[in-house]
Amino acid sequence: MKMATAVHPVPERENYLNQEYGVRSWLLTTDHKRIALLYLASITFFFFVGGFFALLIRLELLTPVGDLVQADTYNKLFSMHGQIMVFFFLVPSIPAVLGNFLVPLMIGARDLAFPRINLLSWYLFIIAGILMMHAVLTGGVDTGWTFYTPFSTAFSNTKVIEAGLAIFVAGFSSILTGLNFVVTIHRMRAPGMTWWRLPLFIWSMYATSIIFLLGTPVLAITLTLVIFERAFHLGIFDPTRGGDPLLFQHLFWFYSHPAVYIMILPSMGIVSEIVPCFSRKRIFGYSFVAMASIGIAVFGFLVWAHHMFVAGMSIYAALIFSFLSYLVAVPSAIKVFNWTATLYKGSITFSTPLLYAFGFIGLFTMGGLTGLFLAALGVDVHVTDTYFVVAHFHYIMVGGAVMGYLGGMHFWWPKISGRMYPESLGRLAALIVFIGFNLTFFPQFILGYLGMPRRYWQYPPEFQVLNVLSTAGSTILAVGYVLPMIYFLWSMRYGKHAEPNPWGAAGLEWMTPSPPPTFNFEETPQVTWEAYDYGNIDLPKEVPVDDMEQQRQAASLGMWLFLATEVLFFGGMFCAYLIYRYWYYPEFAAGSKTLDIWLGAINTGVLICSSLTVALSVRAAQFGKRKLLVTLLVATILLGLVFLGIKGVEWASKFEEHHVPGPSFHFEPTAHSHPNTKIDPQRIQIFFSLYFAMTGIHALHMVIGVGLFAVLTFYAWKGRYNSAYYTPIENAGLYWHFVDIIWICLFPLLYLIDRKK
Amino acid sequence: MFDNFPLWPARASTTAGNVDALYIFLVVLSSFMSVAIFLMILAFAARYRRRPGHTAEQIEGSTILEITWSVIPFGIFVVIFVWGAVIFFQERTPPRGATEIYVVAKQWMWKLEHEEGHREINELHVPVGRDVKMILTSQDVIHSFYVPAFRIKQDVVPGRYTTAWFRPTRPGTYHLFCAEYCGTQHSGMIGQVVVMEPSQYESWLSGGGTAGSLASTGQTLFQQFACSTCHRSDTQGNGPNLTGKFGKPVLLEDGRTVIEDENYIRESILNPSAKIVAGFKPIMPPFQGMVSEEQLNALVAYIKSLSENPSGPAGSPTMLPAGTQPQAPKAQ
Amino acid sequence: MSEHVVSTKLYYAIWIALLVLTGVTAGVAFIDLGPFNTIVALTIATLKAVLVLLFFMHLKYTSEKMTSVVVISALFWLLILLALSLADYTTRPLGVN
Repeated sequence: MKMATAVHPVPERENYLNQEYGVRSWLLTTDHKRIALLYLASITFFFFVGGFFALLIRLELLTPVGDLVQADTYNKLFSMHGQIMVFFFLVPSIPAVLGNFLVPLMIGARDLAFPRINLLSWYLFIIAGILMMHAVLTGGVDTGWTFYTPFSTAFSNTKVIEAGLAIFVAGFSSILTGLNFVVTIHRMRAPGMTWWRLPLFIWSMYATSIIFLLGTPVLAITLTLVIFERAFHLGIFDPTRGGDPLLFQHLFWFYSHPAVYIMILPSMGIVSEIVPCFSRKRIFGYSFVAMASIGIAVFGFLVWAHHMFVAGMSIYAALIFSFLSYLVAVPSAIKVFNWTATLYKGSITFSTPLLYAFGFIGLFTMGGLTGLFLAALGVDVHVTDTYFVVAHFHYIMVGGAVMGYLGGMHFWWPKISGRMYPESLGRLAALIVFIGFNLTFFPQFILGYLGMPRRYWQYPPEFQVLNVLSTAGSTILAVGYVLPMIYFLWSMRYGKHAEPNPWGAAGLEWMTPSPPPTFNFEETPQVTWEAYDYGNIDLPKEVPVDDMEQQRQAASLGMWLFLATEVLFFGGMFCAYLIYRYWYYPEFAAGSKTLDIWLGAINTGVLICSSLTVALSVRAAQFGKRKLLVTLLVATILLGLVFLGIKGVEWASKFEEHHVPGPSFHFEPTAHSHPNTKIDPQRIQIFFSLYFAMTGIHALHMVIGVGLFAVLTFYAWKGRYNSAYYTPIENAGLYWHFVDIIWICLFPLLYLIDRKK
Repeated sequence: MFDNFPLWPARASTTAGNVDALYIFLVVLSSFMSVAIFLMILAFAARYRRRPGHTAEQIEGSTILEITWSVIPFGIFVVIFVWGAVIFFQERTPPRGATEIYVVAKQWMWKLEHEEGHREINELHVPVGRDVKMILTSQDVIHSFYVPAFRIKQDVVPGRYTTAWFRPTRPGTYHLFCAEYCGTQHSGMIGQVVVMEPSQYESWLSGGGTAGSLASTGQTLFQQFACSTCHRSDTQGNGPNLTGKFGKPVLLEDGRTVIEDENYIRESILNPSAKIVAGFKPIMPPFQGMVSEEQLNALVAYIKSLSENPSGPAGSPTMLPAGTQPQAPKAQ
Repeated sequence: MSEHVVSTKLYYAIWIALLVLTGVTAGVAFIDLGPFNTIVALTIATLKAVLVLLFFMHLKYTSEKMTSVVVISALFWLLILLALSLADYTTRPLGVN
């Protein structure tokens, strides 16, 4: 590929790194590239914290008896290793670092659609990280990363609430990242950059974002319910009150299985970039690889209960989930075959990124194939919850995801830092990682089949040989991970200056200097070629973009995406509601009768009125009627406060009647129930738990909405909105209507069960 | 196979061989696929390495190839799925007439009770060649009953019964692990299963002092809790007659039908009003919190014994036909 | 400006329809319709939600295809969550724990 002009690698050239200096310029930046580096520093920190815990785990397992640390300490080590590695390293790793850096560059945009939200998501991540580290340093968590109930809700004496909160906030951060990517990819592509010309890394980021948006909210609500159960005695999963611990597992894995694809899809995207570049070929079957990413994102949501085959769920449901699990294996297989086929008749250079890509393909293949064992019901019964599972998911998450991440870091390091890393050291590190990884985790497959359960602090002596091998491997692996960190840091000062396109790679990110200027491109590029067109590439020409309209549409799409996550957030509670209502109908009916139907109906009316005032206020803004707008906004706020007031009255009466779940709960059945049915005083607590959780979280949304409108009223009063700019009113309106819709559904679900005489 | 470096645990149950067969098939399949991919990558990398005078040939892709390598793996997956499912259904369907053992798991020990009344902690003695059905429940958190040599594992969930079964084939002492993380001493919650020749087993049985069979303990409790005043063995009681009802459908007051199984008896003791038998009034007090898990097990065993057919074929390997799954009750 | 401007009359009409439906759903709850009580309550709730979505949230007027795609995806994923969870709960022996 030829460049238009030889861009001079003069170090003084202004770029995003040297444009400004000082802490302030970093902490308040909205440049996606700088935010990517902020993320890079943060997740590297968490990677080494999590890795440190991993080494302690491996050292403890060197001998069969528990001699290095106490049992409790060991349990905390593996719990925090999992939580930190999953939620604070793997999930944000590629999307938040390389995705942030590359998505705008690859599609020819100046930045992400919402630069300030991007910075906000980093701050949320940092708040989550501080919470997590605080939990770690003040006693830790011992629930495993899975938080299974009732251990996490009623038995663990550790910092469950804090860690749950940390993961909740981290989840919110990744929802915002996903939202930003989807809107950016839809709205900010350079002219000519059609969907079928997008780099496959962009496709994989898009698929990942779908999972962020639709999966994460369910985890958020699940952890919220766990926190509610611990903090306020709302017994949604509590077996002593008729709750089902398996419901927690369903909701947890609805997110946490797709989360595996959050980790692996971005790596697949990276491999799809590296392999064509270093074999100088267009990727084999572009559209199949792209669609496989979307297929994985969608099918990934259909298989969660394969984590629960022995948990006590129905054997018929197990059959369904086992079958669906095989469906999701097909798109993964397609990808592996296409990468291999891309090498055929190529012209291959063995550079460090390609070595990592090879490592990825090999280890991911093994991880994927051992997944077949776990999806096969009969075999899964034996190997689930053993080291076989541990080995399997480390092949996917470490062998796959981390290999891909390192490959990507090497591939784009020249672009990020403007410097070359030492190539021979890079290859050496790749080799060390590969050997160390296999030595660490391959023995664990055998251990697992021999029957060693996971999360064991001590184990029968016959398992020692394999454990020693594994521990030995982990030290090699650690060297392999420390090495790149050292030479990357070294290269920032001493590395050779990088050309704009050191690999001769296709893709817009290589057509701008290394490191790129703050707004990425001197002029907006125009794309007239297909992706991976390693034969011939035309030169970019510039075309202007309609910024104002683009921003308005982007903001609206962003809001709708956010509401989609809200649907799933409440969806977790609707799921619990549906199941318990199906089980405990008499209790639900009796509980419903204690609620005041007229207060509920009046509140519905109040909210409907507020929706009207909101709709009218958007219209007022469209016509630029400032006074009317302010009046309507104030009316909305007042109606919102009336709703909350009535809600407060209702809650207060529940407290007086002792209908709040917990030790002082009391229910007088005769007053409310059918004379011929006895109401179980434990099970009816489930109804009230759901009542408080659902109305409470809804009320919280109302409070946020009222706050939002208060701010908008202030700006409206100052005349900020007019017929040309009223996006904030419109978006706040969408949010308000959504909260109204939720209440419209809650009213019949909670107040109208079996009211007939 | 390798004495010092085994690749699988001892095979000591009828299921173990089936599971290993599928496992070995999968190992062979996976090794073949991995090696094929590795070799292809290495071969391409060597054959098409970058060198002067050689340029890459641009190939778009091939729909036929894509379809081939989607459909063939999917076909193989279906085979694995069916094979795995068949084994799973065998593992999950206890044969009729199996000896029953009640297991209560708690942090961090296993308490096991034989039908004959023997109680064991962290140790289970069973004879070779007899079907054994485990009826498991937990007093606190989720545990998991795992015997690698039998290739069985079943989570033990508080608030309900789960079941598992096995038929030991080889005498020996095997590990019993807790496989679901359950707190501090999770890794200490291990015990052993001792499989004995039937003759040895008989002498072991007669050796230990016992307070009578589990069912007879249950009978005593049945009198103590005054269950017998209402649940009489005629049709005159205030509660339904319990004789001969186990495993049969019960018509409920609200028109639903359930099969009387262990979980139904358990629920009817703890929360009697949940499912009232047609023709009776919800007058029985709930026993939630008044009986321990062990007492509950004894009561369940006693009520089940009221339905036992003395001439039933003990240890018969007949499977329950698939149609015996009860109809799930419909919510209103 | 691609955004559609909706007439105030229509807004008031929708508002009245929503209030009437609220009254109807509360009233019908006291009439014994057997299993249809639940069905009627949920149908009315869905109807109200659709009215809000189409008119107040301008889904009917948006020129943007993506918005409908987002709404449909959200509902589809919710359906996955509910349907596949129920696949377990409706087929467990007894349907009861």
